[in-house]
Amino acid sequence: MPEIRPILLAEDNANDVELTMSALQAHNVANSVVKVDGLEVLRHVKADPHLRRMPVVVLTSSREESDLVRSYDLGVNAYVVKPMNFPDFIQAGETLGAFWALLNELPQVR
Amino acid sequence: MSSPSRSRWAPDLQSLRWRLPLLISGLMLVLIGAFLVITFREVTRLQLQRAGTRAQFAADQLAEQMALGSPQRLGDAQRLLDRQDLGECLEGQAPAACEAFSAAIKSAAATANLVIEVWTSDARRLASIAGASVGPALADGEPPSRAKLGVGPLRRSGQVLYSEAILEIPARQESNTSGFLVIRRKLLAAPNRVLLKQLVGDGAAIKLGNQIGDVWTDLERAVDAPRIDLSRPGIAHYEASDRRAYVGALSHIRGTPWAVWVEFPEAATLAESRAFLRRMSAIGLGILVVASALVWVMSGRVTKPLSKLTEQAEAIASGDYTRSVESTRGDEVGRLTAASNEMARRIRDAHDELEQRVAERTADLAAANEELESFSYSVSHDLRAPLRHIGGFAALLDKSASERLQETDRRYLKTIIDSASRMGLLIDDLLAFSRTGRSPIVKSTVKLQALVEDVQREVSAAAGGSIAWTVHPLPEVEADPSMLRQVLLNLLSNAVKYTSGRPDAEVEIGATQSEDGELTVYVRDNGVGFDMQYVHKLFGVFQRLHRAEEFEGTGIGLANVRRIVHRHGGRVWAEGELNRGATFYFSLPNRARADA
Repeated sequence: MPEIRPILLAEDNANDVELTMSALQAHNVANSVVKVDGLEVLRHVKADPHLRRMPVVVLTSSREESDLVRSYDLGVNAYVVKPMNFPDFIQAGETLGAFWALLNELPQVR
Repeated sequence: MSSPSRSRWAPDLQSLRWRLPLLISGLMLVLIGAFLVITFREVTRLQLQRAGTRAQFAADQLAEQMALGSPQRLGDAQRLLDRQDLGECLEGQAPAACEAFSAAIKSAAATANLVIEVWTSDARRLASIAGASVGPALADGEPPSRAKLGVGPLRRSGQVLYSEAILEIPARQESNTSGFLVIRRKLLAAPNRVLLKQLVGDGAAIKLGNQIGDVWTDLERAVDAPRIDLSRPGIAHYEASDRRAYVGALSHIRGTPWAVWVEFPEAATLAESRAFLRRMSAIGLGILVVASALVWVMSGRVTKPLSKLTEQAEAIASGDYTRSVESTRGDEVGRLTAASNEMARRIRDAHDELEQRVAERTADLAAANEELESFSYSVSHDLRAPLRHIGGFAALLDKSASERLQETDRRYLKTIIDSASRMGLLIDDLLAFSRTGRSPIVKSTVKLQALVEDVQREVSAAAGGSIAWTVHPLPEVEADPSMLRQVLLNLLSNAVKYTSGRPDAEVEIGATQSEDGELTVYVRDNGVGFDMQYVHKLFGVFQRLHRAEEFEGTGIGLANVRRIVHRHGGRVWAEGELNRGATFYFSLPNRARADA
């Protein structure tokens, strides 16, 4: 039985927290409403020696090339554009949860 | 213009630096040459004239002397006529009677180299007193007569020349018998030849002869008469049989049928004017050299600033506005230099100002572009989030309150969800359209045929239906491959979409090339077409000529097509008829202009 890893949701919008939580309800999710934008959180995580091996997935409305480039430059592990259609959004949440919580392997040394 | 590497001394005939001196030197050469020729001819003419005058003077002197000598001699002979013994001789009518006369004058005749004869009027010779061997008994074979009285023409016998004079012996009182005294004189005994030479000078020749031209002598031997008109005294020129030219003068000797001719060879006369010509040529050459040098220096003074100005103008033409030309001159060249420098400065200022303005505009444009980008970012990000919330929570509500809601309520919810979803699509298309306008065009050679076939496979796979495709041969074009692909994708998928209801759907793709190289690509279908009345709306953003329920899509595709084609320098247009199909055209400028 593979270990089901917890997922931390860092979101600045309460509505999105609720919608995303409903998409990830099958998983062990903790959430935190942050007051900075997602790229700032990413920069902070990847700059911290204790946190930098933690996989970070960007879940965003932006398909802008500049956002993609900046995220990958900061070392993001995946970049997903939130589907506009709610069923698609639910589907994406389930896929993401399954992959990162179950399928993906992490190094032992944190 | 000469390149700077060209040697200063290699003639560049295109340059004023060389043309001006060469032209002026050439003109001077012609002028000096003409002057020399004219002067030489004038001097020659004067020399010949002078020689002629000198000859005339000498000839006149000689003729005068000889004319004076003649009556003197005749006077001497006249004295003989008065002698008693001559009268007796004539009256005696016999040679014996003349013995006394002959004996009396014999010694005188010998001294003067004379032959004296006494003739009767009826042509009998009574006596011949020979002082020398002079000529035949009768010069012309005719006895003397009244018609031949006086000094006769010169005569020649072998190498001996002589003159003959005939005097009438008048009849005395006691008888009426008259006769003639004939006196022949050897000519070459002329004692004053040296004197004559001194009179006319060295190089001159004196000739004496009859005016009728038969007998002539140079006072030493018999010679040919000069080839001139001997009946007219005066200066004359002639060319001798040895082709040498002579100038001389003729004078008739008064009281005789003789003429005297004094001549100079023209060559001797002309030697002086040739020497003059040599001197003048040397002077002319000197003047030419000095003047050419002066013109060279002057031309340098004029053309050097000119060529500097030319270099400055060329530098400006090639974009270097910094060069200025030094000149302290106050003349036209100096003014031109100053004006040119001022012009260069103004061009530089204008250029700098323009550059600065362009930089400012570019900065403004970059700022505007940045603003636009942040605007589209916020549209993309900030506008979509609430929209997603609307759709998301409506979906959650639909799920949780489904059983409690009426059918009508559920339809409301569904409309909310669908509209939010459609608005999301519209925003996505708008963003894509905005990106089409902003992303740079990277042109390369595109094989249009392969691209069309590729897109055709893609759209027909998605459509699934049976469509009769006709793809005519297509050329290679210069364009941005991914953008051109988007154009074709839009046009072909439109064609597929709007023929989808037809069982015999046909799509035709081809191209035509105009004379100026503009390529026009067309996509023709036999689908639902459109009303030409609304053709102007066809390429607008979100403009649709069919209801969304009939055909899906947001109406951004043709707007994208138009924007991409315009950015390639081309045009788009369409023709259609309701239910009879539509043809969409786009043109691309020719390769040369696309590359420029």
